[in-house]
Amino acid sequence: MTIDEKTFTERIKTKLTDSTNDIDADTQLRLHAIRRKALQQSGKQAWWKNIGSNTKVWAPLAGVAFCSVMAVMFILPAQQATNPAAVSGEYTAMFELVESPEDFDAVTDPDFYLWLDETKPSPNNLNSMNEATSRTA
Amino acid sequence: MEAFLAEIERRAFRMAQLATGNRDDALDIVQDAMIKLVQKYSDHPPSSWKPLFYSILESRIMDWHRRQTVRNRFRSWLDKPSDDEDTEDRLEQHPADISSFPDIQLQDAEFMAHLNQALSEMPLRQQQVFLLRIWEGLDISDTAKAMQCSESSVKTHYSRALEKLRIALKEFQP
Repeated sequence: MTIDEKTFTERIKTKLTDSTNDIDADTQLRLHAIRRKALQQSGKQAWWKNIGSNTKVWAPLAGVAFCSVMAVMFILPAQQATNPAAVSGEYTAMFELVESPEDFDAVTDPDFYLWLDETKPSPNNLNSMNEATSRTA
Repeated sequence: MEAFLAEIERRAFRMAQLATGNRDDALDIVQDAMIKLVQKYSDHPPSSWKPLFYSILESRIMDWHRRQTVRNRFRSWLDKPSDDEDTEDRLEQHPADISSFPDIQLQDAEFMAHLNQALSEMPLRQQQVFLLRIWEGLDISDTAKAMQCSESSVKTHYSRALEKLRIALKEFQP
């Protein structure tokens, strides 16, 4: 930078700086308000930006949530598919009936098994099964 | 952070005003730049605030110019000249002369008016590079970061801006 250039640029810089001192009062007040408003934004980040900054907290939670969703979506339906009788209300009721210690006498009666084989399982039959069991007992 | 913003707010406003020619738009641009700096970079070291702030300011000014370009295209498309349109309306729509700011007419007003005129007529990037280098005192590297361009581009813009100002202000040189 030559001396002429330095003098020239210094003069421009001085004049530009002087022009900032001549900013009108209304604009200065607005600039002051803008600065206050900007400083109030400190720490006021949008919630989705905090997710990125708090990865240590969110990552395990997200992992657990993801695993839970995967379990509900894939593992439980697969179990149901491989053991359909386990989820059938009718069969469950039958087994509960048989396994109940109160109805031990019915379980030991061979007629009960003959009747059970002839009976097609359905919700209506469950009531008749219960009645039959109590009669047998 | 408050001291930094207080120090630069007037210069930032004048830069934005020179770039836009509009006080309210300049204030909006300064506000956006300050808020973004505080929200995103307040935890950065204070030495990096100045180039970061001017990088944001520069980006906002460029966005403003892009929006203006699109708006002007629509306006020119919608306001096709009709036969009964007189020239008085066109004069009313013409933007105000940027050199007519009341705050620059105190001392050495003629020089300041010519300077403002020359700066406002400069291509935007030349204007910004010149102001960052001369007024803000950023070095070539920081100016390049703020402007998101290469250091050689900064040198080119700066030398061209200086040459234009020399020509525009030659009557004021000794």
